[in-house]
Amino acid sequence: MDRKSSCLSLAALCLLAPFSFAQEDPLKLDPVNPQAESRQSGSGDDYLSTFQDPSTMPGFLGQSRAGFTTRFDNTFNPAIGVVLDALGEFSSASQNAGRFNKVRMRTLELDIASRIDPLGWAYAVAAFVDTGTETEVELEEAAAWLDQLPNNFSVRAGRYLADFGKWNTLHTHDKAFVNEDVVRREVFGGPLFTTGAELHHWFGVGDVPVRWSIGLASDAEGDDHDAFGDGHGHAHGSEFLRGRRGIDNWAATARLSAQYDVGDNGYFQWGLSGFYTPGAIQFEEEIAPSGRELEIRRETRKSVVAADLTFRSVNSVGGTAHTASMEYWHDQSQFGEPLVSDGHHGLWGFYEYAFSPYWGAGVVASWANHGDSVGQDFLAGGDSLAQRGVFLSWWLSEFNRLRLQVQQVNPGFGEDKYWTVALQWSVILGVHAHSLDW
Amino acid sequence: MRKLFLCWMLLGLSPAAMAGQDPIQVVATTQDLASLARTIGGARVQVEALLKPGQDPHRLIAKASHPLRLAKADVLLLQGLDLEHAFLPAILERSRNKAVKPGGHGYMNVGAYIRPMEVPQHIDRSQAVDLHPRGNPHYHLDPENGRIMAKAVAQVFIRVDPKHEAEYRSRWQAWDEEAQKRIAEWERLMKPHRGCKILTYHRSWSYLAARYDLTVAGEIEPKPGLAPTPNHLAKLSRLVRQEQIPLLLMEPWYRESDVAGLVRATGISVSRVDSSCGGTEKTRDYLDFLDHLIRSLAGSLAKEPEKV
Repeated sequence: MDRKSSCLSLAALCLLAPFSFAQEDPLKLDPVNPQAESRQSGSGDDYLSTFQDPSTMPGFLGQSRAGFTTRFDNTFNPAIGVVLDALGEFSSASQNAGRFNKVRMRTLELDIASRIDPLGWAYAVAAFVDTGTETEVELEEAAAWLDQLPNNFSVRAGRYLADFGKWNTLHTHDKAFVNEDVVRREVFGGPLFTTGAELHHWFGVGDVPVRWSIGLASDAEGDDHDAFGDGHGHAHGSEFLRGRRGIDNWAATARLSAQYDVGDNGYFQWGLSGFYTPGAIQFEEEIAPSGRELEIRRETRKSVVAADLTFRSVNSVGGTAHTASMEYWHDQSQFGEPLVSDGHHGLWGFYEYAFSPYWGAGVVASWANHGDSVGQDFLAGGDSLAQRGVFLSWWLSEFNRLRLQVQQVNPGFGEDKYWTVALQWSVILGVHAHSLDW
Repeated sequence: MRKLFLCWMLLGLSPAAMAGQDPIQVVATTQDLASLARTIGGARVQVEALLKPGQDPHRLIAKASHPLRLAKADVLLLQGLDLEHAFLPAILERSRNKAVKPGGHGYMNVGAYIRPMEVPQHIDRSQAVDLHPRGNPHYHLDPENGRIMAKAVAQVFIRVDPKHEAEYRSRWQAWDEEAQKRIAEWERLMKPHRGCKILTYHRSWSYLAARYDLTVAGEIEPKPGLAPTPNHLAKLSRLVRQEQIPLLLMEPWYRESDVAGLVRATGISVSRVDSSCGGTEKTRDYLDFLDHLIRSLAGSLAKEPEKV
């Protein structure tokens, strides 16, 4: 090799050296799906048959990637979901005639939810309700969660289904059976809605998660979407408080619960709940000296305690599942002059066996006694209110469910027992989410 | 004596203890990611999988204990592409551990590094109940995607524990070399079956089929997430006979009774195989699981179809 070529080789080596030594890191990974946390939108028909980079797809890049949004941009729109819950109930009973032997759209529920900012999110549930005797549009829930408080604390404020018992926070169409239990109806007039604020906290005792909440509400009411009783409309706002005088007659709620893992995919949970208000409203009928019928409005003290036990287990093979739950409630009210104590207590529960991911069947029963019949045998029913039913559910898909329920109802107060057959069809449109089963 | 005592001290301590630190707490959503994490992390990590072996990801209950586990985690490994939709969003919402939330130091969405198949052109529920807007999430059944998963696992460990980068790199390198050897062997095994048609129960075998040029001629579910209907099964029955389809692949959590009529009518062989590792002692490791799966697939395809 002559000197000239040696010099050229050396120069070439010097020039190429930085490239030859700068080898690519073998662990280097480039995201091919950089939008993995974002959503696409659109509607249509088919799957792409093979690989396609989603970032090249129409509609995948939102305007927000340009650094701004306009009033016409939907990037930050709330998520919207709709639930249709249609129900046909058939019975030869004379009671609740307005609700039986016809098909009604029990609820058409509109749900919206969105994050407000990094500190919290908000949701609202508005419903068109047909109870069988009346129709109305109502704001069921509208609340904001501050879910980024330190140490697993969070706060919910607004109008919401109160954290009382295991199942009160579920809307009726989400439950495993068709109608609300008689205990809830008798004690609160239906699922308990409150307007106020709840403080929530969870922590672990070893491997056992424990959760508690306390709530203060200026307004609390039971709201059932089925006409009940002698056909005079549903239980909406039946007997409950409206914060009129001041904070001293607000309602307070509390709940403590713990959940234990059972096997790979099951749990056992217990819970204790309480409700207290010095300002519940009670109406009493009296005959005036003139002979006129009067309805006397009194404020009463009401305290309710409840204990609940729940077991759930899902078998991955075949998708079979067991769910069993039971709640005992005791309600102590004091009203009238002089103060008279009126106690209710009630027991309700259900068991459901899902024998595949698509089919499930179960039993549901509830009993509630009046103050003057405390001590009567729950199982015998006595003069207490009672419901006993069997149900069969068929999930055509995760968003489409048919349910058949046969139920015997004892309306109490000496009225005749009767049977009902109900066919329920519930569908979910739009956004849906799975929540923590707690 | 002093030297002997020092040797004893060094031998008696685990690597993590030697480094004077607790092992990295890793929560993986799937058994496959958990296996890769154990291999690449070695004694420096403690790994727990949310989905147990043989568990259908659609049926996992989001329990109260899950956020508690995430609260203690340093790393969260998830498959992504919405595979964990039924449970992970609810668990993450409750957990306040920022390290394992999206954007956190220990959050690794492996699906972001995968080229997804079957991305729906339009998001429409008429297409499927189990609709995955970002594409089919069952990518771990393609061994080449397994190599990407392993890289992602190594990357997040290096990010969380940079002091021990060399260890993670060397374990990943050893794993990757072994994976490449096995991938070559699996290519050889599956070569004779290129172009073979198969049926699957759910749309979970697309990546495996694409890797080995198998054609998924039909699925037992009329649309992903819908129960089979008699009409659809009758159509499949005609298809199996016409196309001489020899094999149906289905996960153990689907009921054999759903396909009993089809099997009787056509004689198609049914292979009930796990679609993730950990189902048996022999398939605890991700590569061993793929080895078992591919060998049993090759064996089933090599059999003469039963005449009906």
